[in-house]
Amino acid sequence: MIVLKKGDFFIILLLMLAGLAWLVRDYIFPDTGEKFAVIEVDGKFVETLPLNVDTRYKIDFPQEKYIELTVENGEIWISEETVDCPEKICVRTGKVSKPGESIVCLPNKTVIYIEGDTDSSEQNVDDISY
Amino acid sequence: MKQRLKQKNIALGIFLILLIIISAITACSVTRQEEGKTQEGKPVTKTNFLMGTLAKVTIYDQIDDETVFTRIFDRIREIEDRMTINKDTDKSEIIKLNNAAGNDYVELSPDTFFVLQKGKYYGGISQGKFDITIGPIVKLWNIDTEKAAVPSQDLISEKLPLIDYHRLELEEGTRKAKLATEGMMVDLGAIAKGYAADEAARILIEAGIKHAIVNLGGNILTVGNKPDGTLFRIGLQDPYRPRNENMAVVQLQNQSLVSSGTYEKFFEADGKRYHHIIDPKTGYPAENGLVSVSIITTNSIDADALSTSIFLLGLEEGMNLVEELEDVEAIFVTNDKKVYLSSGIDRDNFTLINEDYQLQDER
Repeated sequence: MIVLKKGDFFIILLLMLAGLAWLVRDYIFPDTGEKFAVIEVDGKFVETLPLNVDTRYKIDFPQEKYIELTVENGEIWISEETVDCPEKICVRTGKVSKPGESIVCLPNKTVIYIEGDTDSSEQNVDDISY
Repeated sequence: MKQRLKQKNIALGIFLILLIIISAITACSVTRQEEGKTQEGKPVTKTNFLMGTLAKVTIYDQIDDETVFTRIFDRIREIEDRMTINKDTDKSEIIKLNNAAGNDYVELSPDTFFVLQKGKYYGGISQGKFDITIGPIVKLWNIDTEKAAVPSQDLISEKLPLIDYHRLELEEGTRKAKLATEGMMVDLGAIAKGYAADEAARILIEAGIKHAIVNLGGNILTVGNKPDGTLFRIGLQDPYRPRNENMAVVQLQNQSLVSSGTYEKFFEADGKRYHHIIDPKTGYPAENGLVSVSIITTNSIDADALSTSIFLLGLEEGMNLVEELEDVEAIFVTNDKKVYLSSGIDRDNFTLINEDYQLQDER
């Protein structure tokens, strides 16, 4: 025979509130899906970085040259590079965060592109024409 | 005793409610996870560096066999090898054709012959503004290389007489071609990527793929629509903003979208900007108030050739030609940030997202 005491009701209430809070959270902050930066060099997969984890990542090239990426606040960008990259288009690209966006370094055959679920907001695209 | 029973019932009730809530929550999250994986299918993207640019293929179908990517990239590489003038390869039929200029006929693969035919066709309908024999002038400018510099007027005047697609002779039956005068040079840079994208799409469709995007250096080709039945959303690069910042979104299915703009490849000398879209009549980059032209067609080879042709024709003449051609739509952007759409573009499928630009009234 189970007899419920005040304390038990309190726990039950707490559990229910927690469950409710979880449900409500999804409504207030709709899940836009996790986003990742995929790094590929010369068509070969190198690494996937989740954009929700702040980090620095170095892509090594021959002769001790490198491209350093920084992930911060859900964005990724090239923070430092010592490779031969005459026009610095990759650095000028700046920060990217949305699926469909990419950073491309043609001379070093490097691409960093964002993958993840696109939400229905107007700005989101599946790809970009340039 | 009665009170105890009541309490027991309440307790049971609460537990039941809790059970329902918990199962509802877990059920929710489980279905959501599965949706992400199977029902909607996570698109698979592969990239490669081909034709001097980034080649990106994204497949939205559920696929077991990823060799389709390899087949596509191998095919694009084959096309590049046949048509390049920038690589030191003995496989390039265009290098052979150029080296034999003024002397011999060169036998060509069906690929190269078809692209040359298309190139001459667009030369005709653009009144020579699109000219695949622009090679000698392109070499002078060297845009997109570290050697980029403004050539002297003398040099340009010397090379201009060599630019004439009429003097590229094509023999249909034997698939042979010849450039009439020594020094003439074919450059397929404004059309070959379109053909490669079409070939990529053909391989995708033959593999049974129904939803995919081919992106060859910014040239977009969509296969089908998205698996959920909506159209693909393609951003138009803002000519005045950093990479990845879009000025508009165009919705597409089974269509190609190719843009030509002054912002993509350029160099600066003496405070003046020189872009890569060279007018074959003057030998200089076109200065006609346009900053970009985007073309929408079914096949990418047409969109590719037309984006350059229409850009060089300018807003008025270009728009007139677009309206004359079937299955061709265009988006023009001028340097005073005005946007002009051809009449066949469904306004529901075009969304301006940067408010600095002004959409002009339909013509």
